[in-house]
Amino acid sequence: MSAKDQGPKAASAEGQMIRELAELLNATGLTEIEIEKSGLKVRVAKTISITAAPQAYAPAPVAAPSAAPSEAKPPAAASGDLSKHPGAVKSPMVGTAYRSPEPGAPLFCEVGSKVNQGDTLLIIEAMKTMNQIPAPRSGTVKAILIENAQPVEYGEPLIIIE
Amino acid sequence: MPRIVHLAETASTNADAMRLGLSGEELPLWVIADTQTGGRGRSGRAWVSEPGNLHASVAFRSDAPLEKAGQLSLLAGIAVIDAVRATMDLAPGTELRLKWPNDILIGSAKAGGILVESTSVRAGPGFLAILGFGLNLISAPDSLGRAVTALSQHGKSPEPLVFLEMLAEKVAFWLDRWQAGEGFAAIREAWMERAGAMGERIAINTAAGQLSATYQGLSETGALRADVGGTIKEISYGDVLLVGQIARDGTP
Repeated sequence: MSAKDQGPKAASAEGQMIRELAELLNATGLTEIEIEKSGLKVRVAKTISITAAPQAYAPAPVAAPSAAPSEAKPPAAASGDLSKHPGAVKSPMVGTAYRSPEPGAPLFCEVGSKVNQGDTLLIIEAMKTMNQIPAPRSGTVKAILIENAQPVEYGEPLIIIE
Repeated sequence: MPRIVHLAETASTNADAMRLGLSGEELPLWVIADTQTGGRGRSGRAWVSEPGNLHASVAFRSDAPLEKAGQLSLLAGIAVIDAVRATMDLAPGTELRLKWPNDILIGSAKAGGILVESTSVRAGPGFLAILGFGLNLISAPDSLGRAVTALSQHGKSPEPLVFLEMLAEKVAFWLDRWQAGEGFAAIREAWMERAGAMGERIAINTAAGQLSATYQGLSETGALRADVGGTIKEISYGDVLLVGQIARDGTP
């Protein structure tokens, strides 16, 4: 069902919803929000720009291309494909992700947390083995893409650190 | 002789082994405690730690890729079965076996468990692995709402330190065979030899609910192969219950 089928009132309500979601995107640092309400599905996404803080994840351009610099160009990652985000921490295995060392314990990190390289971000359980996933670099947690106790796939982006 | 830290009491031998493993101690290093005040199993479940039972953990470094760390749960179970067989004569008919991925059973009663943890937090190749062992040598906790047993109910069980020495030998033997994951085929075969019969009825707790299935061995990577309604599924997480266990005591 599209907006125009529902008349101007519904359309403005949707506009309001989209504006609110867009604000939420900026406020949370997320890149994509999808919401489904009363049969209406709205997805608000933004392209991740690496120009915002390139030094955070490209400190040593030892293999910098000799061609004309194209840093201003966003990465191939379109909105929604966070696996190509340079700050993505990906799952090294298939398993279940846990955000705290045990139920009821404080979370390892939250959006906005400052983390140091090596800090445990979460645990992935596979075959009853609890694997601590460390931060590959120091930075700020921009997005947490998984829920506690959620199954994750190999290579699935878990957390974005910038 | 392996290097062993022997404690009268500690919160958790896994936590001690992790701390010592990260502190630059020479590895492998075993930690054994007569009792634990904060013994834990998976998901923070408490592990009752009575004196006379085994509460021990080993810390070592592995060069294996992290996605193979889960295979250590299987390896640890094999080592426990072999160490039990090497240190005591089990009464005839005692069905000592493994349940995927890391429970030690006699029949369908739990005699022990394994908690494997890994971390690649510190620099260096591979990861630090902790294998934690809880084994009911002389007593089993009651009122857990499930069938439990102790080895002493099935023969003359060894002292914890005697058992530990044999366990360390078996863990070293199987780690050598594992070859950082390259030799997993041998581990897979050894595990299946020590597990229940193919076709055994099991139930699998998943996020989507409980599935009825039958046990069909292990996959090439160590996942559980289960026949769910005629389709073979590979399970790498979730709780696996023996249907016999559910029927017997009403709870998983």
